[in-house]
Amino acid sequence: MTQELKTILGSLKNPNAQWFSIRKMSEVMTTQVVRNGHPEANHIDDSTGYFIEAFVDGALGYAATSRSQTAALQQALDRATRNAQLTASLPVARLEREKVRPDAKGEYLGHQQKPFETVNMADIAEILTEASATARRSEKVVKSVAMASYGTRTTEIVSTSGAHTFQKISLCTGDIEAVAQDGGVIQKRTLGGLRGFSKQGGAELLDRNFFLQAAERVGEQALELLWAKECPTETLPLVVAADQMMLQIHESIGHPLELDRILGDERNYAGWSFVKPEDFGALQYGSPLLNVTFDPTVPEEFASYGFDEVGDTAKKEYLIQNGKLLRGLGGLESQSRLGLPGVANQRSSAWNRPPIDRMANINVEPGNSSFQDIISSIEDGIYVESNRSWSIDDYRNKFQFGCEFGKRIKNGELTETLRNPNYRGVTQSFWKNLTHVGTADTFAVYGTPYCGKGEPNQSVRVGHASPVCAFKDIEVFGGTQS
Amino acid sequence: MTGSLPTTHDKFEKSCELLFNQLKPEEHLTVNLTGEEVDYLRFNKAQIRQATHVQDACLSLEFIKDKRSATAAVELHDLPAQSQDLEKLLTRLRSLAAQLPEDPYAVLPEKGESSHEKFEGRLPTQEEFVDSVLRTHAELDVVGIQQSGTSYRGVANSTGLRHWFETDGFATDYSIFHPSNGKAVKGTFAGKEWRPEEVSAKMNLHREVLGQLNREAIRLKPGHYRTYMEPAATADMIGMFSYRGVSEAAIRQGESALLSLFNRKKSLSDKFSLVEDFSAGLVPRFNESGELAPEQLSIIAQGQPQHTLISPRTAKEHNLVSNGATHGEGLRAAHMGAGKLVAQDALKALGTGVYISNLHYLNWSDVQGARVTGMTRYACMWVENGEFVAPISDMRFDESLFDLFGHKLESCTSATEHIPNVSSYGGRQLGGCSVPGVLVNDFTLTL
Repeated sequence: MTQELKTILGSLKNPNAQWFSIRKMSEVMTTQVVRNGHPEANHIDDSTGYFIEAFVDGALGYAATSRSQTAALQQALDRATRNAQLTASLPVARLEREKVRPDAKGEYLGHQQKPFETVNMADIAEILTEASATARRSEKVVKSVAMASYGTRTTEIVSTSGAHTFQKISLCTGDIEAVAQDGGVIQKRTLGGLRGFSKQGGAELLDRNFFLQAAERVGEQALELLWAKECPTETLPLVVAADQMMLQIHESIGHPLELDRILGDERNYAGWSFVKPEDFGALQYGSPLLNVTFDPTVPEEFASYGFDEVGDTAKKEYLIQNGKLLRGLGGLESQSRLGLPGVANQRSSAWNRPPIDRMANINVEPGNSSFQDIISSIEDGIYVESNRSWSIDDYRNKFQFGCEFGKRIKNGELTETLRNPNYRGVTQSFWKNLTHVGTADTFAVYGTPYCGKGEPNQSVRVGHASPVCAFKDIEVFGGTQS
Repeated sequence: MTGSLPTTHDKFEKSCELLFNQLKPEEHLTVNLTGEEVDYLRFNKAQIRQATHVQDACLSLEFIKDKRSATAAVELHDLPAQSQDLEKLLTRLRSLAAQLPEDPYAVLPEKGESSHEKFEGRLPTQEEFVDSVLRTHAELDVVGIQQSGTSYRGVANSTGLRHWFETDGFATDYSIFHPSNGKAVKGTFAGKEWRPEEVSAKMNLHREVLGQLNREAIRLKPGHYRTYMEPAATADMIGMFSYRGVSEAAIRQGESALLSLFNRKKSLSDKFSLVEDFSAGLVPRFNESGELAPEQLSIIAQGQPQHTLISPRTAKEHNLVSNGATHGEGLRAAHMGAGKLVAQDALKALGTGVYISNLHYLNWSDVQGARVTGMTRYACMWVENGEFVAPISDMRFDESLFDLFGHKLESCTSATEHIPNVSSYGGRQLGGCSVPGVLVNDFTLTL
């Protein structure tokens, strides 16, 4: 907690707004990239700014500024107030300030064992250089990249009604990439393309052994894919590794359950949803094996926090239980507009954007099938890891995913490696075809720094954790390489 | 807009002066600024959802000494209060660069032609927009965003080179939904001069299309269809060329979907040409290093590869000549060549098939095959004998660019349309692309 914002709050003149708040957000991230043994980037991003919300006659208005002088902040408050007045003249919904901006007070310090100040960029550059070299298992690996991005985000909010929250989280993302080429065949294997390693935590995550072991596996598998068989075009059982499940959850559960999409706010950009307000509490979304939670309380997961940015206290909620849809992903504004329960999820991408409904950590809860049980139950099927391509329609029905690495399952065993494994389907029938949910030992935590949505556009960090899962009757297909 | 506060250009100049004065012998520095003062007005159901004013200015520094480099980006707050922080940042970069490994591809700043461009416009006030679009068309279910304001881009380096680009502009990106069936018409207005009469005319056209969406949607079976794509849909396909397609680095690193085009193992239709064309002046020609791209650069001519986009860093790595591309080597002002099909005759030329107004969520489904997947969106229609029959339910496609713009490309319209870049990740994006509508055979719908 600091006094700076309270002092600013007290210094601003406010003749016309009935309420206002100031959010100061500071994000300091270091990004280092090494390609083929040479530095590609050694970059520090230090972004700090102020976001002011003003409330007038049932409407909020916003203004953001990178300037810190009182005169600039006063201008921002005046602009926010004018925007609130304009919105109040033709609001999509009239809001009650006390309901949508509660007077939260508290502090949240995210999970971290070792501060980033304990490492220096030269040390990390050395680890990444070594990892880049390790991923280059042969001359056929034409490109090997190791990267890490790490730092902290601090968010402090004060309001004229006494709200004061302070949150600081530590973030770390990393990736290894190997592109292998043999004649006309080119294959790429990664640690997950940032989605494979995006967590909250400190410098303990920048572990040399982790990067080197990952680099060795990624490099070896890139080569293995060069000579692998093409994924067949068939309808088969599909076993999805946790690092691909994360994107399947994201696109076909997370986004369609966002209440602002259901309200139509996103129809011009991210899209609408096949889910209707009346579906909550009624719709059988998937197989009875499917249990999905919104859980911003998992310490190491990428989108954990104590409060969302409107002051709602973060807590775990079931979105889908035993396959039935229970609750949507909507913050206090969407809950007020729809009259439905939601979650604490109004967040912004940066200091210059308003908070909107976002996923935080959306997780599939572990089930009862061991990995061995899942594989041995399948006579002929496909196992896939690591997303490389994704696409879904604007109602979140018809999807298509491409993965980096596959295995054929024959007679209950993992057999030959497959390249270019793709699959497609329709959301509800896909989740109803869920046949096995892996046990906790197959459960893994992932995330992504890039979830895009909103107008103006906002890209936020989200987390996803899942066990390995199996689905029946899935349309799989390969690429066009010879 | 800022009253007595210093302008963004003033602050950029003062920051550069301060930073360059701190440099020691053999030290090199390039400074970039990206900024905006923009009103974003988000609306849903012809009512206001969120109105946000953003004032932002981000300074990026690239420091090089003895082939070692480090970079940083920081928000520009207020000078002189921030002066010490900027000096400390430079000191930090100096110290960091000394500790980091040599960067053999670091590009030293060079002298060159400087430029200063400022484009003023007649932008609508928020109230004017609300009145002329939302209140006037209150019976329509219109949803989207209005962006309006001034954007800033600047580059300066320690050799004395300076570029400044400042432009007023607006972009309205919206959809109008049919009241009962979830179908919609998509539109954009963009430019520097707000003309309410053009807005009214376009909204009236949209009403006509909405009428065509009344009919029950047809569910197509997966298969191959004769298809006409409006320019907005073509623009999405052309966007894929910037997604590691025409980048020299991506080609060298085996990651370009168009590798076999630029290796001359495949070609596109002789009806397909693509040029990077800055002549409209909508985006700055300078890149992050301060290099000026040529006003026009042919990328593909009559289906044959001409130039890739080469950034200074890629040029240094591969001993090539840079053509002023940005670090990401994406197209900033793509122009796809027109053809002979008169747009008004497109339906007749299509005959029976699919009319695609817009696409959604494109991604590579197979990079080496240049295969793209995505969805149809908005007012896509089934056409029989040159007449609209009914809207279609959304369909997934999966098609190779080598086929789409190769043997399947029958014709392009005789005029291109400017499709504005309405993206606003990090800030309002500038420019857009100019593309024709295209008539293609056997377009592949898969789901």
